[in-house]
Amino acid sequence: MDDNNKPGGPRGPMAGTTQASTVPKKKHSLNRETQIKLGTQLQNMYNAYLNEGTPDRFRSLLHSLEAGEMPGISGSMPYEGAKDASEES
Amino acid sequence: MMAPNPSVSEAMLRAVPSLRAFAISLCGNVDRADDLVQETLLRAWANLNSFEPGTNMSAWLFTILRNLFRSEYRKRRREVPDGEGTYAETLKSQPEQASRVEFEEFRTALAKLPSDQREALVLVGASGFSYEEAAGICGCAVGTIKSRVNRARTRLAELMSIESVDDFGPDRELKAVLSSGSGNG
Repeated sequence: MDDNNKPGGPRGPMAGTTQASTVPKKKHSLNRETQIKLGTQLQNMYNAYLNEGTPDRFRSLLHSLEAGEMPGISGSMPYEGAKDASEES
Repeated sequence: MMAPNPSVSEAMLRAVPSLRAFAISLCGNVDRADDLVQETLLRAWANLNSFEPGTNMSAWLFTILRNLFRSEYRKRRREVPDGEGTYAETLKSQPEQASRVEFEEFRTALAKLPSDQREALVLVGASGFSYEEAAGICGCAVGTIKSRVNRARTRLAELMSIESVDDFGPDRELKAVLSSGSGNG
């Protein structure tokens, strides 16, 4: 079979290179304005979360801890004891 | 364990809104985020002896929260991410209709980022940490954080089909209709 009729197409100067390397990579560099706008959207979203304030459950929790109590967790992640707080688990 | 100084619990309480904001940004679900914050506070309290007074308590708490999230994320990896909901409807202060669409679009795109890119972007772009602090929180090199932030921005723009600043805002759909209409004569 002639090389030019092979499924991979004609063999020319790029012969021997993989197909991936022949496809130009899409270079998507963002201009400054777009970066700023994305940053603003991120900040707006984050501020919306920040404005939710502090739910009472956290005040109660910290008051309990201050009083020397170690309340059980009712959520989905039970307290597993005093592990190294900064460990990469 | 000796009872911690009340100022410690006050400092923790002050950090709660930003911890929650970070947690919601990471997992996109308020209930899970609140569980994450609660677990973070408990872990921190139980390990106060590992906190160095005079250092940044907020960064220490973010580190704990981030590690807990990564640990939980690995367990829940097969679950469908909760990024498609209309979170804006649950907010106390409702955004305007147009910004609500923009808000949801951005939130959905953010939820689709790989978690390492999402956390880097939020830490640096919203939580106000420096690249160095974010690297400390994530336990990686500063260059890695910079690279993740860049990739996150680029991916966000791709997900939101943004090529220029004109593509932002509530008019984008109208502009798209107008531009396709003008092509038809």
